[in-house]
Parts: sequence; C-alpha cells; structure tokens
Amino acid sequence: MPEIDLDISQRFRKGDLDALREIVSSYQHTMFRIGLKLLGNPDDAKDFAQDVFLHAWQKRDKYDSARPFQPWFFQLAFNLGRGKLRRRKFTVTSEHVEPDPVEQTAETLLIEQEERSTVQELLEQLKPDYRECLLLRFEADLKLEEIAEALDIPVGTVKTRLRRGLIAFKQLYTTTRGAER
Amino acid sequence: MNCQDTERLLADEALGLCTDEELHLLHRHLEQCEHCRRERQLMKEAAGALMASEHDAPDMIEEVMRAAARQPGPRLVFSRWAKPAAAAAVLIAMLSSAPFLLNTGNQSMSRDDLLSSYAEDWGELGLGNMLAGYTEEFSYTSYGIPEAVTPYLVD
Repeated sequence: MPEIDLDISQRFRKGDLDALREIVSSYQHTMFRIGLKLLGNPDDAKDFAQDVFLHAWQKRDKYDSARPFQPWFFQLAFNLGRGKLRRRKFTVTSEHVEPDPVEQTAETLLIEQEERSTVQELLEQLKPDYRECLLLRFEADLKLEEIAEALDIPVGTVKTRLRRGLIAFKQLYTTTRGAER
Repeated sequence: MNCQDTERLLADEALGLCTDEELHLLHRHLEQCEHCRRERQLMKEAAGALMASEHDAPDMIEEVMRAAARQPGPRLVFSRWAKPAAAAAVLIAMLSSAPFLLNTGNQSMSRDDLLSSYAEDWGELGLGNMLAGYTEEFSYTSYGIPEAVTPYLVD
C-alpha cells in the first residue's frame, strides 16, 4: 500500500480530483478486503469501499492536511463500517452469489463463500475495538505504531486489543468449527 | 510457565509480537505439553482465517471518479448553534400545539391525556420487561464460549 504523502493529501483537501484518484488507487484493495471481512460478500465490500472514498471526498474539509492522511482515512472508514453493520442488523440481508471471475469450480467457490461468511459473522460478534485492531493488522497489514496512530490509542493498548481480540476470535472460530464437524 | 501464560504467548506468536526470549520459553513448554500444542494449532487456524484474502478488488477508480465529479463540494457547515436552535424550534412547536396551549378540557385530548397516553402505551407494551428478558436469557457461555473471553464480545 503506497504512502499518501503530504503533497497528495494537501491537494485532496483542496478538492483536486487527481489526488483522489491516487488515493483510490492506493487504498482500493485494502478497503475492499476490509469490507469483505466486515460485510462478508464481494458486492457489499465493493459498495463499502466506494462509499468510503466518496464519503472522504465529501468530508475532505474536515481533514487537517498538516496531519497524516492514513489515520483520518481509516477512522472515517471504520465509522462508516460501524454504521453499515448497525443498519444491517435491522434489514434482511440477501445472499449474494459471487461472480465467476476466474476458473474455479463451483465447489471451491462455495467453500470460499462459506468460510468468508463464517469469519464475517464471528468478527461481527467481537466488540468494534477488537475487530478494528485485527482488521488493521491482518487486512491492512499495518505495524503496531500505525494502528496506534490510526485509532489514536497507545501502542500498548493496540497489543492488548490484538491479543484479546485474537484469543476471543479463536474461541469463537474453534467453537463454530467444532459444531460444524 | 503454565498453560494460561502460554495462551497469551500463542496469540502473540500468531500476531508476530513475541520476543526471541518469549519464543524460546514457549517452545520449551510446547515440547512437554500436548494440550498447548493442540491450542497452538487452533490459534494458527484462527489467525489463518483472519489473514488477508487473496481476493483482489474490482477496479473501482473510474466509478469513484465519476461519482466524485458529480458530487457538490463539502456540505455546508452549520454553526454550533444550529442543532440546539432546531431542537428549541421543535419544542416550541410542540408546546404551542392545541392540547398543550389550551388545556381547557374542551379539546378532544388534554395535555395530561396526551402525556399519559404515551406513558400507558409504553407500560402496556411492557417493552422494559421484554428487553430485560433478552439480556438475561442470552449468554455466550451457553454456546460453549469460555467466560474469560466474553468481555471482548458484543453484548
């Protein structure tokens, strides 16, 4: 994930569409994958990622361009993600069938889809503080210091949340797998 | 080192947070503890499930750019008094409505009637009790989740 430097973030703040293009290009995979983990299917993940970019664009006047771009951007993404998860609890979700982009058997696709749904449902059971730390570590591949900056918490707290989050996730995952077998 | 200490180190190992010394201690414990070796395997599987998917994002640059170009600029920022002023306007409108202003008893509904009807509705629905029931009935432990991790799960 290429770094968004001061020049790009300042141009973004001023409303330069080329700066937005560079930001989308840098973060589209990360945001899509975070969306996949949060929401469980590619259609919703794509919508989520696009919403994040457009929301950031609309809120760009709130961004302090003297500060690093990434923490502001991830906070905005997680706020949006929390809202989407809250709203989903009150609406019936449809089962999306994944498009067939590569040569995969139907069985492989089905297994992947099931695994993704399981992980998404289990992550949804974690408190947001723990879920977001795990996503930044595993999906965004951020270092501890970067996670601390993105969530505006001390590095020690990041370590604790990652550890407790993973232990809790493992218990849920193991219990679910045990029940399936 | 006991098995409880090991759980923390197993999580740290999966997260790549262990020091060399901690790894050494962990491996020494694992050599003699079958239970923790099994736990390590489960921790690896859980961390593996969380690993970044290889699913590449569909290219969304052009779609985002088109939508962004259509958007107006950032929304107007209202002054910090806008919300309190709006709340005050609603309150004034409510208090100046007929049942509140003309509490003569000649209206179809008096001020007291209006207020008590809300209170009665709430009581008849028994929502408070229903919600309390849900809170008491649900517990992660009944699904086999150890009590130690439930503080990290949503209520």
